[in-house]
Amino acid sequence: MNEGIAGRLAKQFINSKITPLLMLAALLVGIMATFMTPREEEPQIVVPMVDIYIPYPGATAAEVQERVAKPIERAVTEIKGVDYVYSTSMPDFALVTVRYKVGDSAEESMVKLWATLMKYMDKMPPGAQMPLIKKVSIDDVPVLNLTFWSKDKSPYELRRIAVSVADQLKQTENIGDVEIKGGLKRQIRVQLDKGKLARFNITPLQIARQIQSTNSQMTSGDFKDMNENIVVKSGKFLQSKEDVGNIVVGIYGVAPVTLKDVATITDGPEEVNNYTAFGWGAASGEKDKSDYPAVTLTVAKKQGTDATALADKVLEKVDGMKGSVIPADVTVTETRNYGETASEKVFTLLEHLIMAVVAVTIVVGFFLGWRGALVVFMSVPITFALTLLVYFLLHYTLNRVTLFALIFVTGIVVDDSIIIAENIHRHFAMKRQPRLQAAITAISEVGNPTILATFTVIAAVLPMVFVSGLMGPYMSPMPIGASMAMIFSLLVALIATPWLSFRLLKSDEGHHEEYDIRKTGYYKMFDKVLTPFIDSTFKTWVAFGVVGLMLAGAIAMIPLKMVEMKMLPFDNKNEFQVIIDMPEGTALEKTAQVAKEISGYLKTVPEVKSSQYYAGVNAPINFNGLVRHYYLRRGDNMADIQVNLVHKSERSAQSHDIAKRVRAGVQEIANRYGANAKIVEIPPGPPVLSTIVAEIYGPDEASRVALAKEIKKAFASTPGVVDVDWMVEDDQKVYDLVINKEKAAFRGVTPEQIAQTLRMSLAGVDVGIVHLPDELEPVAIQLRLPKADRTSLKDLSNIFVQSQGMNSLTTRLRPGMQIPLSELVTIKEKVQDKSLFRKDLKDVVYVTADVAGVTESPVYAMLELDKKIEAIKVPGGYKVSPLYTAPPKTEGKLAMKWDGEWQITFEVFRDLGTAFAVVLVIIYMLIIGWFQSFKTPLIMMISIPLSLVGIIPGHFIHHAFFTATSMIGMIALAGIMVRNAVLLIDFIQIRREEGIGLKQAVIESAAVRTRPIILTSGAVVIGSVVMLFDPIFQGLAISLIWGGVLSTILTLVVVPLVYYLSEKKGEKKRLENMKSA
Amino acid sequence: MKGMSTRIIVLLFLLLPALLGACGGHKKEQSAFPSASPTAPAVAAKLATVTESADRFGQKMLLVPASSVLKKEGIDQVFVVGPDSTVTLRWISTGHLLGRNIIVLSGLEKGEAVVELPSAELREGARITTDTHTQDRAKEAQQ
Repeated sequence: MNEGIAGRLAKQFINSKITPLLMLAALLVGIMATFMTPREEEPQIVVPMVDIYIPYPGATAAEVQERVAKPIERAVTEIKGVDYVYSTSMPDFALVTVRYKVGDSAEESMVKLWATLMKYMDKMPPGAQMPLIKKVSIDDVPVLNLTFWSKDKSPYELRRIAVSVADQLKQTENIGDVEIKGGLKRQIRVQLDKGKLARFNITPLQIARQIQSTNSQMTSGDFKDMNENIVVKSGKFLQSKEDVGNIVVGIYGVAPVTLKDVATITDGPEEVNNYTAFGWGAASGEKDKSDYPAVTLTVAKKQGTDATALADKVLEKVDGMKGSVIPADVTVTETRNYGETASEKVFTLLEHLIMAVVAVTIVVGFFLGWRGALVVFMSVPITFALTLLVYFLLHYTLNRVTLFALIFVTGIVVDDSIIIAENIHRHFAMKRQPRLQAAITAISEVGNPTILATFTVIAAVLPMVFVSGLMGPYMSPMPIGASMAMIFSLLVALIATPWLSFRLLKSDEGHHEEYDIRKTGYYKMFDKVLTPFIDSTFKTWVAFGVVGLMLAGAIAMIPLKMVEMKMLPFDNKNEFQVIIDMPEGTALEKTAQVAKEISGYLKTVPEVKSSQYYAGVNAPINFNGLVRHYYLRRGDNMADIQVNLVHKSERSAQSHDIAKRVRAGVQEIANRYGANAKIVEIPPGPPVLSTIVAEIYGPDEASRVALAKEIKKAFASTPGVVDVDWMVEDDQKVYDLVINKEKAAFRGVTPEQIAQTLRMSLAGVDVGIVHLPDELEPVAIQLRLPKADRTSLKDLSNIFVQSQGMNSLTTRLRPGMQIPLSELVTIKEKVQDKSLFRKDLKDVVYVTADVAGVTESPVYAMLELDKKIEAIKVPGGYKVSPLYTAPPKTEGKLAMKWDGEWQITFEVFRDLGTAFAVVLVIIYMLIIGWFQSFKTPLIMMISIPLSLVGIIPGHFIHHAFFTATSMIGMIALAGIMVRNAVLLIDFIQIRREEGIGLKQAVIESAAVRTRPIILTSGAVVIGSVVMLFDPIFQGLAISLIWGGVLSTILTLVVVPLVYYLSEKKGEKKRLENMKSA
Repeated sequence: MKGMSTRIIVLLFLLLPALLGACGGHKKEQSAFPSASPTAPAVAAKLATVTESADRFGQKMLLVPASSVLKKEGIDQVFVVGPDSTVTLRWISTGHLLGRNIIVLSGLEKGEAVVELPSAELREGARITTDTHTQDRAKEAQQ
């Protein structure tokens, strides 16, 4: 018999002393790699995303869009590798977000962007300021949040404590950004007294100028004398509130007027701009569930570092600071620890891995005895050890995706070893040859088809690398890890398994009679099952008909909605957020009140451990916030609530179910106050703007908004569609103070003076900092009217500006004359400009929503909405049919495109579908190469669609969604099933060449191959059972289990039958040829 | 070799419950509104109502007694009495003093009840009895 590569390899290593050493070395290296690879929760995704902020003070939203946003968008689109360009134009300010292709180098993208922007800077309108460019990356999401709260300390004191803790934490190795959310900064507040200003004839602008010029110190130079240099310094920085108070700001009569004469100066907390609080929830076990002022310190990590190690180090440091930097009455509570969750995830997955290996070993033990099981059990860790080494070398981190790849292949990597060990076992049992010879024969017999089969499985999973878009980085470790593991498992099967089998497997004693396949149970069974079909063509066709019907029935379950498609189901996390938007113009205190009430309700939910609310400032962002720009949420009408649940092991409900359950309660409170509240869960896959996004395009803003309003209504009336919102702000009343330019000129006042005075009085202006070397945060000096004096427009009546006098050449007044502001401006009430959005150079209005309850999958909600949207009447009388794959070509007509999760779903299923087609072609070619026949591969590939008979009803039985992971399972299963068919048909052909009749060869090979096929499929099935309970990987498990079971059974019957039918005609000729030869 | 098929059958039967066990797993929905916490002992307190008034220009404003506002490090709070007689702390923003009243810029609505002169022991969630006089009278009657 021809030995082939497999036989020769085995001969080399089966008795070599080097084999055990190689095995040991591989194991050790793998263990080291496991500990050295950084651990984190989310996979490292390089999505170069850059925010460009361009201030253009004074311009309206439309003007900002036309002058600033559009030119920059156009310029940026020229850059190679730019995928999407989004822009938001608000009054005074534009934000352009540039998203590069996934996987592009972040640094290169930044350089390209910078160069392009600089090229166009001269085209910017006068008045537009220098753009601020900020890169956004996954490492901006804090991995550890520590909330400092206290019953007695104020937000001001809490912030000071947090700042000093942050300062010391910064020294920690691998630490990224440390930020503080909430609390009040120290500030020297200069609160102007309007009455006194008027009396002493002093204006705010004058004060600002005086403070700025007093607050300076510099080195003036040096004297040279007697061979010595004497340095001269002049001026002195302001260092205290007394220094500020003693500044002379004017003169009244003959006496100097100091600042403290005309203003109240305080050194302490800044004016309130946020309210943040912490409170225990129902599941905390704490008695006191009231809210206490809180400040949260967030810690991010550096790219590619271990989240667990960092979190542990930081926590240890913070523990050390308790009692010293952190007073005893301040409690520090961990409100997020991704280090811990990452570690936990990794260990759970490793645990699953071990369970899967043990389960598989037990199954193998049933068939081959404990010695056979031991052979298989020892080969798996070597395979995984080598795969983990590859992860380490490729700079992958251990995260949920890379480990998933390992679990996914557990059932598959044992197969090669099983097949080899099983065949050696069989040959030992047959006792036709001496042991060594028998082992080598056994390996040669199955070795080469095993190599082919391994490559068919690799061919099946590898095309997944080509999944593009945001889902790409989620998918790519899977094919790479799985392919690597497959190759290692093949090497282990050809090198280590023969060595182990030769030493561990024993020939059964007692059976001395000649081995006869006809006496085995398998043969009898297949003889009984297959013979009637082989003998009667009619029965064969009936059998095929039944299988065909089963397949059709299974596929019909999808359009019948018995099995629903969804890209990824929600993971069971320990947190979620509530995002609250009050109507524009709501006071901060009102927003805080609503946030507190919703937070109070959430705290009564039995699974909630704690809740923090942040009014006026954004909560520490999570993965979602990155794409949704939640880090820009700052305003009196916005609040975020961070809800922490008890650990998933202590509750029976999944986080998604809890989120669904509380939605009604949260909405009820929000509706009472006219607020829009959204429940935001951490996405299981790549983050999107919202689950459902409708992009509305059209010729002008008014018609877009009108259509958006209709679509929003349609959203709200569709059951299962929740958290409906749109990105069109409510009308907000603003006062426009129009400067009477003629009057101003006549009084010798410039419009700039007026604008600055107004800004100083209302918004306040930082006129410098006090120089305190020990202070960790800069302490600003802020000039402003007290809160009590800026409640209405009439408060502006006694603010004065100074005339420039004759210098201005437009007036005859003397310089320094006090002119009341009210004389120079007229008040106009108007509606605030609304933000304008653009995407990829097209004007757009977004309507967003989430799905929960009736439909969990956005696709079904979208299909239902399609009908409603098509019924909307638009001016012009045409129908708006929602688009699915590409934006409209022209903007002349109103149009709508679906985006959000759909876009990613579409991309993934499109790419996976293409990948699957490529897989089929590659498998076909591989088998043609092996069998040198065009027909045989087709027979083998029959088993691929047969897996659907198991997969779809399997999802129905488990009430599960058909997800992207289900699809991956289906693709992998194609490889596994083809491999089974390869082994089956290869054996039939070997037997036929030995001169055995077709019918006999078919039955015999089915009988001989049943054991390894059931063993390998059994390993896949058992290895997947552990994944059934994981919300994300459930789909994969169902595909592998049900698809594996059903298609194995069908393959064993259908493939031999089809082969028999196709070969029947040629059989007679062949036998004659053989005889004549 | 003959015992093999029985062993497989045993194995398959062992597998079946494992697979079926993983099916479904639908837990019954828990009530969205858990029952209210046990009532705490009531604390006696004097209440004041948020009133609306107008200044000489006709500008409307909200007033509460200045004694009801707790001021600390730049932050103002009041105890608001809810419909179920429990108190919650509310952050408010205040303006000028007007006699014994203070102008509320935001955080309170007209007609809401706040605790006047809240005692240091008063905590969020405490239940209060509105009328102290009747209590006093009841005490007097007992004596």
